[in-house]
Amino acid sequence: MGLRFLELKSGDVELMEAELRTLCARSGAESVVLLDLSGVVLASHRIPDKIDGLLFAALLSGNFAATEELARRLGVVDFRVMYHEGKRQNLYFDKVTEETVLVVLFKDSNALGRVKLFSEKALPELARMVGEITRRPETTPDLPQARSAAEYLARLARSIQPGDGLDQV
Amino acid sequence: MAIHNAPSKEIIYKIAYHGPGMSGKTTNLRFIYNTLPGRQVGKFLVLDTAVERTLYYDFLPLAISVDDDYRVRFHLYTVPGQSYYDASRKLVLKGVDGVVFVADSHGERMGENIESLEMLKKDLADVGLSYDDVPLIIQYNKRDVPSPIPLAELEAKLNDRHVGTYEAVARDGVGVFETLSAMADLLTGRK
Repeated sequence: MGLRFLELKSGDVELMEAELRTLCARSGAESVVLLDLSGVVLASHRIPDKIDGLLFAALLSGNFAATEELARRLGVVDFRVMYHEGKRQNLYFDKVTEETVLVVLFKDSNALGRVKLFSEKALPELARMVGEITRRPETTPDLPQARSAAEYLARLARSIQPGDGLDQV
Repeated sequence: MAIHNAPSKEIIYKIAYHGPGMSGKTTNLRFIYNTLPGRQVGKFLVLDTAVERTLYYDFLPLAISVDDDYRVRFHLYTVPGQSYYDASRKLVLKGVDGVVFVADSHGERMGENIESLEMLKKDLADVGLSYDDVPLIIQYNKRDVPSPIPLAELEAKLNDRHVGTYEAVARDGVGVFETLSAMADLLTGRK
């Protein structure tokens, strides 16, 4: 079937990570993440060990998308920045493209203005990189590995008995 | 859109479980979470209200290691069933690769099933996807209730695309992996 794929090639992630590393150093941030709004981390620099990266991505993208929808309903035009202030750490969001958002985690000893300034400086280059990836012709690669995973789930479906797993609920 | 990251040998699919409130979407994910070995399943995120209804969404990441050191990830989400969580549903459906529609077999819930299916069509259109094209599997859940809606009626009223359907009692795990497996087959082109 013709499912569309976003193809990340060798060098894509490294280039985005290099840009995030530079942003992290210049802004004094703790970590920087480039997210696809469907909930996938495209590139990151220093996601804290205590945070599960996949959960981090799902929550951050949900958070941004929910606030974006609220802004739309309130009639806020061109909503692209969001900021959460905590006691010790803060989160800054800035939209890179329609489908991607930059998230910066930084300590309260750091200035929001510094983070905002260097994030905005990084946006055009990140947008160019993301644009280059998303503008590639759509592909429908033949992925036998994906079929192997489906085969595994099919075997599992045949072997599971009703009631399995319930003792752990 | 699915992601193929060849350098890091990773394939990522996003699957949304849609359907009316309390039809058993979270129960499907909970059974999967409790059944799969720890190495294949990540943390189960549930954002619900005090009455156990999904507020934003549930999220369960699966990672299946296969040949050539590849990892195939299936990111499973549920959407809140209640019509007033319109915005939350849309954010989950953004970039979705496949939809499992979980229908409730309780006799009095046919109207809510139909309403939810109509919401799915509208929500998909709102995020730039077409109901007619999106990979879809329908699960008829709660087949153990007294006097469930007859299958023929569910088929006639919900399966306008004539897609694969599975009977389930998600609470007991019946039909849960069959449904997930069928969706994986659709996405990967195994069948």
